[in-house]
Amino acid sequence: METVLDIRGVCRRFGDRAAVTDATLALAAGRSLCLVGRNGAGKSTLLALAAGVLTPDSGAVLVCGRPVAHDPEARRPLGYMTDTPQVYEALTGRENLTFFGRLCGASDLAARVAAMLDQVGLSARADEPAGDYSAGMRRRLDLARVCLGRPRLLLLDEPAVSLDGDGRDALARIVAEVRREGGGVLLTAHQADDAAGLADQCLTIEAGRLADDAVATSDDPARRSGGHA
Amino acid sequence: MRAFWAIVAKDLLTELRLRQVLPTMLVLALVLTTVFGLAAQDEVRRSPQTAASALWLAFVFAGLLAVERAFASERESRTMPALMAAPLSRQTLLAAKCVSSGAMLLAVQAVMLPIALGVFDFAVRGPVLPLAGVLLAGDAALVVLGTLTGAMVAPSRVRGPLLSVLVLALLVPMMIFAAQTTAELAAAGWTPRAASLLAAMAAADVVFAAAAYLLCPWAVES
Repeated sequence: METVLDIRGVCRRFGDRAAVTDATLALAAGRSLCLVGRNGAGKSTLLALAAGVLTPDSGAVLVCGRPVAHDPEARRPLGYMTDTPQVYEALTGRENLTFFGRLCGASDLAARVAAMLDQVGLSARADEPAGDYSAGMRRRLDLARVCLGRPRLLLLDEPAVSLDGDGRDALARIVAEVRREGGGVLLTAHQADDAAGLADQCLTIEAGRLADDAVATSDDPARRSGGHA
Repeated sequence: MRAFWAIVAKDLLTELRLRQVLPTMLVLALVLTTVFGLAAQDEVRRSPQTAASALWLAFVFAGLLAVERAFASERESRTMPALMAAPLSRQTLLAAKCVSSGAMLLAVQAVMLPIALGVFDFAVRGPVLPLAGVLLAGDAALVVLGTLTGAMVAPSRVRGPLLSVLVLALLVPMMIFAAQTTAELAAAGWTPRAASLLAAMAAADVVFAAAAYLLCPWAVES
């Protein structure tokens, strides 16, 4: 099975503090993995390294076989959502998605934007400024943003935060769709329960180190073998 | 190129809606120019050197406001990671930010030049094209150096003063050239001296652009 994300011995420091130490992880196509850890454990840093937003001090990150740090094209198959919504408040929801769709080179953009707005339940307010949206609506708009380019790798940092029931349903549908189409999903959560329905496996990260304790989440207890190398 | 123009269009549309920088740039340039123009004695006010120096001083300070916002606005709206994870090079991102800052500076200059001609009571001799060349060469240096430095200092709480200190230190020779070339064009038209000054500015622009290209990934990620 193809590996969509391959993290090999990655280290990253911020000054004297080691944020991620010797992280090695492989995510196969069609799989979903959740990094579980406390605040400051290194979850978000590892996701930023996987997205190519941060460059590792040592080690390598490959997305669909290409090194992501210095190759813009290697970032084309990925969708990256941070723990805070990334939307422009002065632009409408539709304008936000159109802008990010142009950045990722999405084809048939107007139709794709309309479809994603519909999928996250924002069609009715698509032409209002994103600054007028609630926190949950901004989160849903952000979710639509990361899926515009039909990503093969979804990186979601605490994706369920601020989402209501409908938003969580939309999130679960998007994660399932990406997996069904042969993509992989790496997400983070504070507790394994938060990943129920989204990930089939959890990995603990503590003080920047991945623990060797891959466990299946409650919704999929049969899958204990993992991508964690 | 699609991503490049998307960023430029987004920046200009956001500025048109929020009016965060352009009005302040205009007011600052207007105040500087009129204070210099009205405070100077008639003889000094008619001097092309005074007019050109005052104009470029106004353009530099107005331009600093634009370049400071280029990356700071992305940091404030927390959209920087989305841009950095997009399939575009850091150089494309920086170039787009330079163009949107440059467009705002050109808009200010388009308003300020006729006003300055009236305030300082001087005229540009000969063809207008060389003057446009001086403006573009001076603007290019300002926006390239300023936007690059702005990317580096964007996370800092004292980014405004930091940016001014760093960019002004690097820009002083270029701005002297720009003021001298503008004054030469106003006093004597397109002369060999004006041509050599403009050539020196263009050469400096090439050096600045090359430095920005090389330093850009580090600056944006910092």
